[in-house]
Amino acid sequence: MLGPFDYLLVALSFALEAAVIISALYRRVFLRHLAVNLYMLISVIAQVGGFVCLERYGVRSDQYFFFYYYMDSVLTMAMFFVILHFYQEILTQLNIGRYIRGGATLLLVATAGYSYFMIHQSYSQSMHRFVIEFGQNTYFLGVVLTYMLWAAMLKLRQARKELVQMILALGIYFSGIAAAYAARNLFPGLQDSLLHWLPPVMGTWLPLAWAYALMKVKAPSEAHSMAAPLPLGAQ
Amino acid sequence: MIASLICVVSVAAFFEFLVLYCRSVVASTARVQLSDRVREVAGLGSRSVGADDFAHFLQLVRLCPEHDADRTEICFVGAYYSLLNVTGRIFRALAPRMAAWVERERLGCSYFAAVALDRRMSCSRDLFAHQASGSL
Repeated sequence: MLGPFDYLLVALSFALEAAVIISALYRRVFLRHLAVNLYMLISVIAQVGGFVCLERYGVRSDQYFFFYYYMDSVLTMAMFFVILHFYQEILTQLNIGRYIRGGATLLLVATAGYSYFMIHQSYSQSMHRFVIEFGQNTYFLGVVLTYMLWAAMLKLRQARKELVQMILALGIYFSGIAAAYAARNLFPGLQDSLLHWLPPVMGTWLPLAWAYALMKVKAPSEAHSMAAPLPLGAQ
Repeated sequence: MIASLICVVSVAAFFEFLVLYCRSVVASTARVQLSDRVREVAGLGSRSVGADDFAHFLQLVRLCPEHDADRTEICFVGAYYSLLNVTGRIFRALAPRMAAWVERERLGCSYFAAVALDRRMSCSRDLFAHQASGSL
């Protein structure tokens, strides 16, 4: 049974995801950050679907379990498109969009192949353990890709504040959830306490940070203080 | 084994991304020049903003009328400053270089609060001037 805090987090992340889409429309950057907005749209649909499943079948049901973890996989895939979008934004001056698209296709095929192999191997074993391990690996891949993205940003001296904050927020999100999944794998006893809250809290953090970046952080043409140094050299 | 490695690396990455994110918020004010009015109100005189001035500036910020645009940022930087205080206390004796970095970060937070105060004061002054011109 879910508690009031669970419901609060669901409502909050739903509102924040909608806020990201609305603020992108308001700032007329919906198409510029299409991957981000599509991710948020899928996330909103997942929230509604998850809530319907939860109300109809209950939190311990197989239906909710499969819906939650399969939707999580779909969202992770969508998130890879977001990372690729950021790569294209950062590397646009190098004119290597063709290679990025090629690399993206390769990565997707490899991830799909890996997933198929893992499912084929582990279907007879504990499905619960498999989904946690799969989540841990995909989120960790997200950490690595975001780190590489950050390194590219440092190298190319890209300092668009809106983009910097969106990428750093993504790094916090991926590393937080990857750590939670790995800790769940290591200490299954902690699953019902701290580790139960971490993924939904991170799920609320990401739309909050993105909505803030889209709403409050001014584009270079709007801001005079954009010359302010960003923490590109910070280590 | 792999899970332990992923856990350690992810936790380290989490803190690094968190610090970088906080710095990106604080850095937005780093090159903003403080007005003489703020120096006077805060009693700075000719000295520059110090790392310990954050709480003092925050008190003054709270005295100014609420400003929707910076409320979230101030809360966020406040949380970052508290985290730095704790980190600074831990590392003061153990790693002086780390403590020096923390001190620089705290200074950045204090400067951020000073700029927030400056903005709120100029906003209030503009509002007052607008109302005064409207009533004439």
